Amino acid sequence: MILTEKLTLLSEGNFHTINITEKVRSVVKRSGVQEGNALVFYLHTTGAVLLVEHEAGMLVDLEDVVERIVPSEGDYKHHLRGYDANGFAHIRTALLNVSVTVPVLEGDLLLGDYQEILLIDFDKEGKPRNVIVQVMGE
Amino acid sequence: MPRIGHFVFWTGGVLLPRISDLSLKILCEGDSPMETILELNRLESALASGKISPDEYCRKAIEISRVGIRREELCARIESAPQVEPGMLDLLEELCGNYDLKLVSDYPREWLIPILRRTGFRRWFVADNMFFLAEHSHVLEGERLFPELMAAAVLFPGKSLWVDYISSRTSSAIRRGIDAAIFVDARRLRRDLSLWGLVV
Repeated sequence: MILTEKLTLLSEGNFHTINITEKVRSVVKRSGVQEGNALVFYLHTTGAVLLVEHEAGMLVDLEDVVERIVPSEGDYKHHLRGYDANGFAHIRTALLNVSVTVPVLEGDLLLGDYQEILLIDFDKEGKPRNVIVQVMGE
Repeated sequence: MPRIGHFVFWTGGVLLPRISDLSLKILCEGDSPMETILELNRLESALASGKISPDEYCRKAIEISRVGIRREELCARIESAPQVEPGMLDLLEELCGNYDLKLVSDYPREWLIPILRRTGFRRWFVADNMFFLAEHSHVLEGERLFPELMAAAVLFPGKSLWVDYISSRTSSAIRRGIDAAIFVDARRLRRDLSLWGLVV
């Protein structure tokens, strides 16, 4: 059995974080899969999908670390095209994950006690963001 | 460990549903077009900051959705619809014994007060502990929210815990020395608060 659904979520950009754990869980339940995997795949090049504890202080730490490694202001050659100025967002995405795969057991996501599925949008502008959830198994 | 003396809750999306989500449920059947959702979110912000009245919100929401109901009916249905986020009544009952509870409201006063009474929240949030954003229309602009809330003695660094569903606001709070917790649902909030040592 394979079920593929697209989630469309509104983001405000600028490190906007969306907890999609329950939305993914709903897709798993709709699939009827009892044992298998759920793939969560972000359909953009300027954000990430992470399995982390969704804690307010951690998000500040993550933002600070990401900003130190890939500053939002910089001489990014991506900007030479003149099309957009979000070079930092692309590099952050390249260094992090655009997808996670979560085991499914007994019809539910098999997550650790503190694991949540978060989307983080690095782009400067808020806009709708698309995520594919594909559940496979039996 | 912080010496938390009181909690400050954002209203729509934490204590009660977001007004835009309520409106979508009333006005749209099935999946809503993204453009409708975006427009209703913009209206919600305008209502929260006092740029439009509840009546204007309802009129414009009806125009956006092109549903044939009267403005008065939509207003009445929004006012009567909100149910408390599941699990929050029990959590607030537990918190009020040891902490002061305050709220920052993106609902207008004329909607929130009857809703608080009907849902049972009223007994925990006294008049002095409610801050209505619409009555301070400039507060939602830019970075002014937390400085204004501190100036208005709603928030105190080191003593307040800000509870919100929007991570950019919790991050802003933390960067200003105000402890914060992200709200996803009451179960997760309770777990977070227990890790802080604030509930058992």
